[in-house]
Amino acid sequence: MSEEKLAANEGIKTRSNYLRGTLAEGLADLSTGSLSEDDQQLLKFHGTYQQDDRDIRAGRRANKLEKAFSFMIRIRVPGGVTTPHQWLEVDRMADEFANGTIKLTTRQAYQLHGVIKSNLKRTINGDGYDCGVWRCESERDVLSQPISFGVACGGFKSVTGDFRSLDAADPCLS
Amino acid sequence: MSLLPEQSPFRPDQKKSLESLLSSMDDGQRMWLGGFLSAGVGVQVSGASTVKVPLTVLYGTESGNSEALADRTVKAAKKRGFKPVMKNMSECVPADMEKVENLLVVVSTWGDGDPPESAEEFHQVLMSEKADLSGVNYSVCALGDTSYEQFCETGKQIDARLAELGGKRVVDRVDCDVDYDELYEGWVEKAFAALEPQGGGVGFVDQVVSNGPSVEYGKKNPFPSELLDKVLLNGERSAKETWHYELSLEGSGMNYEPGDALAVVAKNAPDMVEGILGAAKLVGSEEVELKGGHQKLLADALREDLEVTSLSRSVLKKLNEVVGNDRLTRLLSDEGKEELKDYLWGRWVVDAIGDFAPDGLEAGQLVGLLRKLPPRLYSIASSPLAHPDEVHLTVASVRYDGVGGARKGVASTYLADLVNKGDEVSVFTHLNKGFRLPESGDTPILMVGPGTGVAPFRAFVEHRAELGVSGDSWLFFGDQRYSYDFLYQLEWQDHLKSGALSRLDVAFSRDQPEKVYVQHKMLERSREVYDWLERGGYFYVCGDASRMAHDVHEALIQIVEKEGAVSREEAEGYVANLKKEKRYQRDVY
Ligand SMILES: Cc1cc2nc3c(=O)[nH]c(=O)nc-3n(C[C@H](O)[C@H](O)[C@H](O)COP(=O)(O)OP(=O)(O)OC[C@H]3O[C@@H](n4cnc5c(N)ncnc54)[C@H](O)[C@@H]3O)c2cc1C
Ligand SMILES: NC(=O)c1ccc[n+]([C@@H]2O[C@H](COP(=O)([O-])OP(=O)(O)OC[C@H]3O[C@@H](n4cnc5c(N)ncnc54)[C@H](OP(=O)(O)O)[C@@H]3O)[C@@H](O)[C@H]2O)c1
Ligand SMILES: Cc1cc2nc3c(=O)[nH]c(=O)nc-3n(C[C@H](O)[C@H](O)[C@H](O)COP(=O)(O)O)c2cc1C
Repeated sequence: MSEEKLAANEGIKTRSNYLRGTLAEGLADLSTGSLSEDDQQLLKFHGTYQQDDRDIRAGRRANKLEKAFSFMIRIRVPGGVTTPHQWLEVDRMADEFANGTIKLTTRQAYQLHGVIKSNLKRTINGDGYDCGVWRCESERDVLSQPISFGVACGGFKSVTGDFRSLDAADPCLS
Repeated sequence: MSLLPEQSPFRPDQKKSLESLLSSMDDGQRMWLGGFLSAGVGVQVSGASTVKVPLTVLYGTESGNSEALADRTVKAAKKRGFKPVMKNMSECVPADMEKVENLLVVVSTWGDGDPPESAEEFHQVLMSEKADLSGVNYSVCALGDTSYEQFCETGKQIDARLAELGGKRVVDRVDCDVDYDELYEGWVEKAFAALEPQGGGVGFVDQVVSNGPSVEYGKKNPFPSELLDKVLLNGERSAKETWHYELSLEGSGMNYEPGDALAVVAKNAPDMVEGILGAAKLVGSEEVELKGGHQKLLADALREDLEVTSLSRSVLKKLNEVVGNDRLTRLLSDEGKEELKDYLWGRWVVDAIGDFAPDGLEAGQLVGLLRKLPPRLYSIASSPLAHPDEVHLTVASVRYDGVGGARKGVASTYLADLVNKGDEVSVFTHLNKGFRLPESGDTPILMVGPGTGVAPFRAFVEHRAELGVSGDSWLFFGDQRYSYDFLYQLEWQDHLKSGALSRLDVAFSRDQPEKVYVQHKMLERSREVYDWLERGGYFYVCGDASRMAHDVHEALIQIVEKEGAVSREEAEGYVANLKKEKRYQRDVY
């Protein structure tokens, strides 16, 4: 083991009970649309980033409202290939839970912006969506990617079993 | 020879027996009797010793108007020599009326021609069960609002049913619009005259509500309140427009408690006045006479005194008396009921004038169509302890597309568009005894208030925070979008932190494909909701009466059924009992 001091993030990770942290409690508390600092860090390992809408930041306090917090969810696109069907489903998700746009990144990912806390779990889970395998970029996803590389929708389904078993170990996101 | 004076408190039959008894006595006997009676045997000699006529004043109310009138009736009846008792329909059964000799009923209509909630049971039993009311002299004063299709329906039903059960209607029913004072006063005067023994009584002087100094502010004399602040509670991009208003009560002498409402006396917007003048082909400088004989310029009357927008059957009826139109006659007939409903929806008075009086109206005719502009009630959103000398409101601006174009609500947009900080608004406080915090600060409270329904709960939570009491409190709030419509979000966060609010559940209906409403959140937490009730908790609902209050009521029954493991019937009984114990209170509109 190295004697070198670990980055602060690593401490959060270590304390996080396998990246759970207090995410479950934080997600359940809908008095605020934000998460604690630590949980925000953890969420990054799940491919999700808390943001606030800067365009409408000013003046919200005067409306007796907190900042307009929401989340960006990054969806890894295995091998950079998406079936038309999957595209339509991501599109639908963007309309129903995000701000209606899908950002295509240079790193083979889609980004959905403006997902509010109450919709986070179901968006990450692809709840109610066909080909419900839109996973964020935690390590296990990366592991799964070679399997699903270039596989059509039906093929995706064949690996959802693997995801489910991983989910079971990660109650805060399922 | 008559020994008794013309004016005496006795009934004719008593007078007759007394006359004959007295005339049979000698002077000694009379003197002895005088001494005996003045020693106070058998009668209370304090004040005027009169034989009092019993009178029961029965009322059914939702927002307190009928109760206030019943109270006035009782006070006036006392002065008039009656022995009145006041009864709430929520606290008696029709069979109790069998023993009653003289009965005056004041009752309002709610929902879609329904009785006030607290009078539902009384009404239902009265309508369905037999009772012998042949010994009852009665009269009914019905409160309502002509803008509703089923105008004064409950009063009408009760009046008819009392007669059916043998009661004797001594004075015809009056059906009062929101501006009820004048009709009520006429009615109560006639009723007293009909019920009291001949020859008795002093003239009825109605002191109205004010029995204090003459400068007292209230309904008859609204207080010019300064608007201290106005804040939009919805974030940018919201589809809604809900305002927080802070008004000054300094120097008004008016007090309120959390749960009360504030009445706002609004003015019609200039474009509303221009619109109706244009439709009627009038200019506004015409002199008109209003009820009570005031002379005014038409434009001023349209701006300040009359309801110029809302269309109702009653307006159409009066319009038809002027224009005698075939289609109108059909709309107003029994067969035209459905068509009338369609016609009224989304239309204003200007639209009807355009349709049926395209050549315009005379100034007097126009004024004759319109009722007095009623004050609008708003649930008070502040605690007087937290904001002394102030009163806060949470008001949703009513704006919609009507048949004739963009339409808006009178009072809500008067506040939003026409009143600025520093301007004065005429207001008075409106008591709402049926919506009160529990006596004890330890009692848990559950509050369900989506949309503007959250207003009184801001008052409740602030009040308890100021009192420093420790009872649990749980708020269910809902609105369209989390990010823009979370009314008072920062304040709730502070209250959660300080412990003044123990729990908060929110239901935003338009953040996802399916509707999520407050009652869904209640059902999700059914175990805890039931536990809170079992711990003696109070359950409050405020907001939309037409759908929300009904669905929340249903959810409450389902929760009791599930968590109490009882039948549907027993669950309904449980909830009915909550109401009886005043642990289930509603402020819905
Ligand atoms: C006890 C009580 C407490 C209340 N508390 C509050 C409160 O805290 N906050 C609050 O905002 N309100 C509250 N209200 C309601 C308030 O009193 C007014 O009714 C409301 O503000 C509308 O008044 P207005 O003068 O702006 O609209 P009005 O000029 O009275 O117009 C309203 C009418 O417009 C028509 N209309 C409205 N929307 C549409 C539509 N979409 N399509 C067609 N026609 C439509 C309907 O005929 C409706 O009756 C309360 C009411 C009561 C009785
Ligand atoms: N009878 C009526 O038409 C009526 C009644 C009350 C208020 N209003 C008008 O509506 C405007 C706003 O009023 P408001 O701010 O107090 O809010 P509101 O319209 O009562 O809405 C508040 C929240 O309640 C939801 N809701 C709708 N139906 C419901 C139900 N059956 N049970 C539980 N929740 C329900 C709404 O969802 P969705 O809107 O997404 O369905 C919204 O999220 C005002 O102009 C007011 O005059 C109209
Ligand atoms: C939600 C609501 C529904 C109403 N429904 C009717 C109705 O159907 N018919 C009617 O004549 N008046 C109706 N009214 C008007 C009330 O009867 C009127 O405001 C009355 O003065 C209330 O008296 P209360 O305070 O004693 O209940 C309704 C009022 C509200 C706020």
